[in-house]
Amino acid sequence: MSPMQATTAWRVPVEGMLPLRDWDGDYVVYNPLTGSTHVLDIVAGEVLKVIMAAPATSRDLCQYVADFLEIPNDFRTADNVDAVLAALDELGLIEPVEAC
Amino acid sequence: MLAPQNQVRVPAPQNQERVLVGDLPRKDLARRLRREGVHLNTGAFTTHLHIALDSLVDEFAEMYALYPLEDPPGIDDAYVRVVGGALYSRLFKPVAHAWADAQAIEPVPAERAFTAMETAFNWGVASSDVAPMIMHSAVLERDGRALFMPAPSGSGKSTLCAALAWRGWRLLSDEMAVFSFEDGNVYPNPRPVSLKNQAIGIVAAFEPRARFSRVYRGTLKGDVAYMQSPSEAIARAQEPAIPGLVVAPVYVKGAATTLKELDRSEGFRWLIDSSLNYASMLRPGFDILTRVAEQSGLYSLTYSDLDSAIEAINGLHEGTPVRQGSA
Repeated sequence: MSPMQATTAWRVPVEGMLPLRDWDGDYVVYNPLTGSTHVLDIVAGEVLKVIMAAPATSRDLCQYVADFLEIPNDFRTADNVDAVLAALDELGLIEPVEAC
Repeated sequence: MLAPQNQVRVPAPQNQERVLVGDLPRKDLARRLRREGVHLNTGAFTTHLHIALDSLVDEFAEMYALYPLEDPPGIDDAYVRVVGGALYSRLFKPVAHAWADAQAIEPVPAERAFTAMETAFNWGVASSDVAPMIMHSAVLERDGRALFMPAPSGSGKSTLCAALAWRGWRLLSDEMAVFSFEDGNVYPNPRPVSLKNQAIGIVAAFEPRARFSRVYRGTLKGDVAYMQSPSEAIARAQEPAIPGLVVAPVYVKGAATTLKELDRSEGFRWLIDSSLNYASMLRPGFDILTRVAEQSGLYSLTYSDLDSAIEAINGLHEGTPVRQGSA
């Protein structure tokens, strides 16, 4: 079981889209809140793309990553997605959606 | 010059008579440099220049003879001043002091005043209040497309740049790529090309038309000489170029010419690392450098032979269409 709540939804902390470029599986993104530029691997880039399109839960993202990489949606995938979400959160590129 | 808000100023009308440094009689030039200064246009930048050191005037007049002066002056991008030392030091150990705006350059022996002035010009560009996006890179142009050569000192960048400037490529700068926020294009700032140590003889042997300053010995970087910019580079210093090719050169003695294509993200990192002010440029800086990465072929080049290196770069230029980005 993943330590991160599977039902936690994530969103980008800015209105609209982050400036993101997809370069053959490498992603570069600019964070206007910190002024930093980040190079992301393919999984982190894809996860961020999904969240930019619409807020998504960890569970949704695990399913997306499993489908995208054609791997089982099991605890290993969940652990990896949790690590990616934690890293993106730490960079200030995403934030959890607070419950109403 | 680049106007405030980092927008490129519309060049003066072509039919307007421009006074060149070399048009002024030596005596008048010396007087103006000492009193009110001159407003030297080097393409993207205009520098208000004061020189109160007679021995430097001749060298300046020779190396900058073809550059236009802004008269009447507009808005200057930087202020550079070069003076001799105090009287006692002039008598015993002549030195030259230079400033770029308020930034003092390390004093040098008076016979090397030209090197201090060139350093001050570079500081003036890099620290200008209206500084646009700047990357430490040689830049040349052919068919409207810019070739960037970002590389650290000692990599052979200026040597290759000087050689290319005599083989069909127009020199935009051997030191700094100047980008406009308005259109993301690169604007010329051609000034004398700084060559060091063995590179001086290599370029002199490579191109007999090249004209050089005298050799300044004993600088922190060894022997230094400056190659005059080719006249076409100065005459066309208002013509920008679009990004076309990025080649990071490394001179390795005896090495065969070798090109390696870089991943776009790897090349992008190289561009960021070479930028002098990327962090303060925020989103526009990101947009400019991602555009360069997306529109350019990105390569590293190892070389020891100039002709072979130029042939390799020409091949890339002719065979590499402008890439379309995937933004």
